[in-house]
Amino acid sequence: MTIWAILWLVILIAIFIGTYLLNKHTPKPEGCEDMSECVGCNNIACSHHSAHHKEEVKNAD
Amino acid sequence: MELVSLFIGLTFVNNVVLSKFYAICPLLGVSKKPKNALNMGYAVTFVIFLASIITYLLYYHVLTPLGITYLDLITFILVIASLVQFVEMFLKKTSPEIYKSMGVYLPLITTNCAVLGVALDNISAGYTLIEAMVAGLAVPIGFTLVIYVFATIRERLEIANVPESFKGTPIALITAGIMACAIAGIAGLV
Repeated sequence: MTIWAILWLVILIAIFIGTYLLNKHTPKPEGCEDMSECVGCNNIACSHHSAHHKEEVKNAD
Repeated sequence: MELVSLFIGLTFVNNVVLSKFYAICPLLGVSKKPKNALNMGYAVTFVIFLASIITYLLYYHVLTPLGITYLDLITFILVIASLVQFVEMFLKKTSPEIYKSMGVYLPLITTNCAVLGVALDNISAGYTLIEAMVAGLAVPIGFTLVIYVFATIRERLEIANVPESFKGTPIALITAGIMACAIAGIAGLV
Protein backbone atom coordinates (compact mmCIF):
# COMPACT_ATOMS: atom_id res chain seq x y z
CA MET A 1 0.00 0.00 0.00
CA THR A 2 2.89 2.36 0.80
CA ILE A 3 4.42 1.63 -2.60
CA TRP A 4 1.14 2.53 -4.28
CA ALA A 5 1.03 5.79 -2.31
CA ILE A 6 4.60 6.72 -3.29
CA LEU A 7 3.99 5.74 -6.91
CA TRP A 8 0.77 7.78 -7.00
CA LEU A 9 2.53 10.85 -5.59
CA VAL A 10 5.37 10.50 -8.09
CA ILE A 11 2.84 10.31 -10.94
CA LEU A 12 0.98 13.40 -9.70
CA ILE A 13 4.15 15.43 -9.21
CA ALA A 14 5.40 14.36 -12.67
CA ILE A 15 2.10 15.44 -14.22
CA PHE A 16 2.29 18.81 -12.46
CA ILE A 17 5.89 19.44 -13.50
CA GLY A 18 5.03 18.33 -17.05
CA THR A 19 2.04 20.67 -17.35
CA TYR A 20 4.02 23.52 -15.73
CA LEU A 21 6.90 23.15 -18.19
CA LEU A 22 4.59 22.78 -21.18
CA ASN A 23 2.67 25.87 -20.11
CA LYS A 24 5.87 27.82 -19.53
CA HIS A 25 7.17 26.99 -23.00
CA THR A 26 3.88 27.78 -24.73
CA PRO A 27 4.22 31.27 -26.22
CA LYS A 28 1.66 33.86 -25.15
CA PRO A 29 -0.70 35.06 -27.89
CA GLU A 30 0.16 38.45 -29.35
CA GLY A 31 -1.37 41.46 -27.66
CA CYS A 32 -1.87 39.78 -24.29
CA GLU A 33 -1.31 41.85 -21.19
CA ASP A 34 1.96 41.60 -19.34
CA MET A 35 1.03 39.58 -16.28
CA SER A 36 3.90 40.99 -14.28
CA GLU A 37 2.07 44.32 -14.30
CA CYS A 38 -0.97 43.04 -12.38
CA VAL A 39 -2.46 45.51 -9.89
CA GLY A 40 -5.51 43.40 -9.05
CA CYS A 41 -4.76 43.31 -5.34
CA ASN A 42 -2.22 44.51 -2.78
CA ASN A 43 -0.65 41.10 -2.10
CA ILE A 44 3.05 41.82 -2.66
CA ALA A 45 3.89 38.14 -2.00
CA CYS A 46 2.25 37.24 -5.35
CA SER A 47 4.81 36.85 -8.14
CA HIS A 48 2.50 38.72 -10.53
CA HIS A 49 2.48 41.87 -8.38
CA SER A 50 3.90 44.95 -10.07
CA ALA A 51 6.46 45.39 -7.26
CA HIS A 52 8.33 42.29 -8.47
CA HIS A 53 8.30 43.59 -12.02
CA LYS A 54 9.88 46.86 -10.86
CA GLU A 55 12.59 44.90 -9.02
CA GLU A 56 13.34 42.90 -12.18
CA VAL A 57 13.68 46.07 -14.25
CA LYS A 58 15.92 47.63 -11.58
CA ASN A 59 18.17 44.54 -11.51
CA ALA A 60 18.36 44.48 -15.31
CA ASP A 61 19.54 48.11 -15.29
CA MET B 1 -36.16 17.97 -7.92
CA GLU B 2 -33.42 17.05 -5.46
CA LEU B 3 -30.82 18.33 -7.90
CA VAL B 4 -32.69 21.63 -8.20
CA SER B 5 -32.79 21.92 -4.40
CA LEU B 6 -29.08 21.13 -4.27
CA PHE B 7 -28.35 23.76 -6.92
CA ILE B 8 -30.39 26.50 -5.19
CA GLY B 9 -29.04 25.50 -1.80
CA LEU B 10 -25.41 25.70 -2.86
CA THR B 11 -25.87 28.88 -4.90
CA PHE B 12 -27.77 30.97 -2.36
CA VAL B 13 -28.41 29.40 1.05
CA ASN B 14 -25.06 27.70 1.60
CA ASN B 15 -23.18 30.18 -0.53
CA VAL B 16 -19.53 29.22 -0.53
CA VAL B 17 -18.28 32.74 0.15
CA LEU B 18 -20.83 34.14 2.58
CA SER B 19 -21.66 31.06 4.65
CA LYS B 20 -18.47 28.98 4.51
CA PHE B 21 -16.05 31.90 4.03
CA TYR B 22 -14.07 30.22 1.26
CA ALA B 23 -12.50 32.40 -1.45
CA ILE B 24 -12.33 35.53 0.67
CA CYS B 25 -8.96 36.39 -0.92
CA PRO B 26 -10.31 36.86 -4.48
CA LEU B 27 -13.49 38.40 -3.04
CA LEU B 28 -11.46 41.24 -1.55
CA GLY B 29 -8.65 41.31 -4.12
CA VAL B 30 -10.51 41.09 -7.43
CA SER B 31 -13.68 43.05 -6.63
CA LYS B 32 -12.57 46.58 -7.38
CA LYS B 33 -14.12 46.56 -10.84
CA PRO B 34 -17.28 44.60 -11.84
CA LYS B 35 -15.71 43.57 -15.18
CA ASN B 36 -12.71 42.00 -13.43
CA ALA B 37 -15.02 40.32 -10.93
CA LEU B 38 -17.03 38.74 -13.77
CA ASN B 39 -13.86 37.53 -15.52
CA MET B 40 -12.70 35.92 -12.30
CA GLY B 41 -16.14 34.33 -11.90
CA TYR B 42 -16.06 32.81 -15.40
CA ALA B 43 -12.57 31.40 -14.87
CA VAL B 44 -13.48 29.97 -11.45
CA THR B 45 -16.68 28.40 -12.83
CA PHE B 46 -14.75 26.66 -15.57
CA VAL B 47 -12.05 25.30 -13.27
CA ILE B 48 -14.34 24.27 -10.39
CA PHE B 49 -16.66 22.36 -12.74
CA LEU B 50 -13.77 20.43 -14.31
CA ALA B 51 -11.98 19.93 -10.98
CA SER B 52 -15.07 18.57 -9.22
CA ILE B 53 -15.54 15.91 -11.93
CA ILE B 54 -11.87 14.91 -12.14
CA THR B 55 -11.32 14.78 -8.36
CA TYR B 56 -14.52 12.76 -7.86
CA LEU B 57 -13.45 10.19 -10.47
CA LEU B 58 -9.92 9.98 -9.06
CA TYR B 59 -11.16 9.51 -5.50
CA TYR B 60 -13.61 6.69 -6.26
CA HIS B 61 -11.75 4.99 -9.13
CA VAL B 62 -8.10 5.35 -8.09
CA LEU B 63 -7.64 6.29 -4.44
CA THR B 64 -10.38 4.05 -3.00
CA PRO B 65 -9.42 0.83 -4.88
CA LEU B 66 -5.74 1.35 -3.97
CA GLY B 67 -6.63 2.05 -0.32
CA ILE B 68 -4.84 5.40 -0.25
CA THR B 69 -7.78 7.72 0.41
CA TYR B 70 -5.68 9.50 3.06
CA LEU B 71 -3.84 11.12 0.14
CA ASP B 72 -7.00 12.90 -1.03
CA LEU B 73 -5.91 16.39 0.06
CA ILE B 74 -2.50 16.36 -1.63
CA THR B 75 -3.98 14.62 -4.68
CA PHE B 76 -6.64 17.29 -5.10
CA ILE B 77 -4.13 20.13 -4.65
CA LEU B 78 -1.83 18.71 -7.34
CA VAL B 79 -4.72 17.90 -9.67
CA ILE B 80 -6.12 21.44 -9.37
CA ALA B 81 -2.68 23.01 -9.91
CA SER B 82 -2.07 20.79 -12.97
CA LEU B 83 -5.55 21.49 -14.30
CA VAL B 84 -5.04 25.25 -14.11
CA GLN B 85 -1.70 24.92 -15.95
CA PHE B 86 -3.35 22.77 -18.60
CA VAL B 87 -6.33 25.10 -19.03
CA GLU B 88 -3.98 28.10 -19.34
CA MET B 89 -1.91 26.32 -21.97
CA PHE B 90 -5.03 25.18 -23.84
CA LEU B 91 -6.42 28.71 -23.93
CA LYS B 92 -3.09 30.14 -25.10
CA LYS B 93 -3.14 27.77 -28.06
CA THR B 94 -6.82 27.71 -29.00
CA SER B 95 -8.56 30.83 -27.66
CA PRO B 96 -6.20 33.79 -27.35
CA GLU B 97 -9.16 36.14 -26.88
CA ILE B 98 -10.45 34.28 -23.82
CA TYR B 99 -6.89 33.99 -22.50
CA LYS B 100 -6.46 37.74 -22.97
CA SER B 101 -9.71 38.55 -21.19
CA MET B 102 -8.90 36.31 -18.22
CA GLY B 103 -5.35 37.56 -17.97
CA VAL B 104 -3.76 37.11 -14.57
CA TYR B 105 -6.91 35.68 -12.99
CA LEU B 106 -6.39 32.29 -14.57
CA PRO B 107 -3.17 31.30 -12.71
CA LEU B 108 -4.55 32.90 -9.53
CA ILE B 109 -7.32 30.27 -9.42
CA THR B 110 -4.74 27.76 -8.18
CA THR B 111 -4.73 29.61 -4.86
CA ASN B 112 -8.53 29.90 -4.65
CA CYS B 113 -9.53 27.68 -1.74
CA ALA B 114 -13.11 27.39 -3.06
CA VAL B 115 -11.84 25.01 -5.76
CA LEU B 116 -10.27 22.69 -3.20
CA GLY B 117 -13.23 23.18 -0.85
CA VAL B 118 -15.74 21.99 -3.45
CA ALA B 119 -13.64 18.94 -4.29
CA LEU B 120 -13.36 17.95 -0.61
CA ASP B 121 -17.01 18.76 0.16
CA ASN B 122 -18.18 16.57 -2.73
CA ILE B 123 -16.43 13.61 -1.12
CA SER B 124 -17.38 14.32 2.51
CA ALA B 125 -21.04 14.90 1.58
CA GLY B 126 -21.15 11.54 -0.24
CA TYR B 127 -22.47 12.99 -3.52
CA THR B 128 -23.00 10.93 -6.66
CA LEU B 129 -21.21 11.99 -9.85
CA ILE B 130 -24.28 13.91 -11.07
CA GLU B 131 -24.64 15.67 -7.72
CA ALA B 132 -20.93 16.50 -7.75
CA MET B 133 -21.37 18.02 -11.23
CA VAL B 134 -24.34 20.09 -10.02
CA ALA B 135 -22.29 21.22 -7.01
CA GLY B 136 -19.43 22.02 -9.39
CA LEU B 137 -21.73 24.42 -11.23
CA ALA B 138 -23.80 25.80 -8.34
CA VAL B 139 -20.90 26.78 -6.08
CA PRO B 140 -18.98 28.88 -8.64
CA ILE B 141 -22.21 30.49 -9.88
CA GLY B 142 -22.89 31.52 -6.27
CA PHE B 143 -19.31 32.79 -6.04
CA THR B 144 -19.70 34.79 -9.27
CA LEU B 145 -22.98 36.35 -8.11
CA VAL B 146 -21.50 37.42 -4.78
CA ILE B 147 -18.23 38.78 -6.19
CA TYR B 148 -20.08 40.71 -8.91
CA VAL B 149 -22.62 42.25 -6.49
CA PHE B 150 -19.77 43.01 -4.08
CA ALA B 151 -17.78 44.70 -6.87
CA THR B 152 -20.73 46.92 -7.86
CA ILE B 153 -21.21 47.96 -4.20
CA ARG B 154 -17.48 48.71 -3.83
CA GLU B 155 -17.58 50.80 -6.99
CA ARG B 156 -20.32 52.94 -5.43
CA LEU B 157 -18.44 53.09 -2.14
CA GLU B 158 -15.48 54.67 -3.96
CA ILE B 159 -17.54 57.83 -4.54
CA ALA B 160 -19.56 57.63 -1.30
CA ASN B 161 -18.90 59.87 1.67
CA VAL B 162 -17.28 57.23 3.88
CA PRO B 163 -15.49 58.29 7.13
CA GLU B 164 -11.73 58.36 6.64
CA SER B 165 -11.01 55.48 9.04
CA PHE B 166 -13.51 53.22 7.23
CA LYS B 167 -12.27 53.83 3.68
CA GLY B 168 -10.93 50.89 1.69
CA THR B 169 -10.74 47.43 3.26
CA PRO B 170 -12.69 48.20 6.51
CA ILE B 171 -15.85 49.29 4.70
CA ALA B 172 -15.44 46.39 2.26
CA LEU B 173 -15.33 43.91 5.16
CA ILE B 174 -18.38 45.52 6.79
CA THR B 175 -20.20 45.27 3.45
CA ALA B 176 -19.28 41.58 3.17
CA GLY B 177 -20.59 41.03 6.71
CA ILE B 178 -23.94 42.66 5.89
CA MET B 179 -24.18 40.54 2.73
CA ALA B 180 -23.50 37.41 4.82
CA CYS B 181 -26.33 38.43 7.20
CA ALA B 182 -28.68 38.86 4.22
CA ILE B 183 -27.77 35.38 2.91
CA ALA B 184 -28.28 33.89 6.40
CA GLY B 185 -31.82 35.31 6.30
CA ILE B 186 -32.84 32.87 3.56
CA ALA B 187 -31.37 29.82 5.33
CA GLY B 188 -34.76 28.13 5.67
CA LEU B 189 -35.57 28.38 1.95
CA VAL B 190 -34.20 24.95 0.97
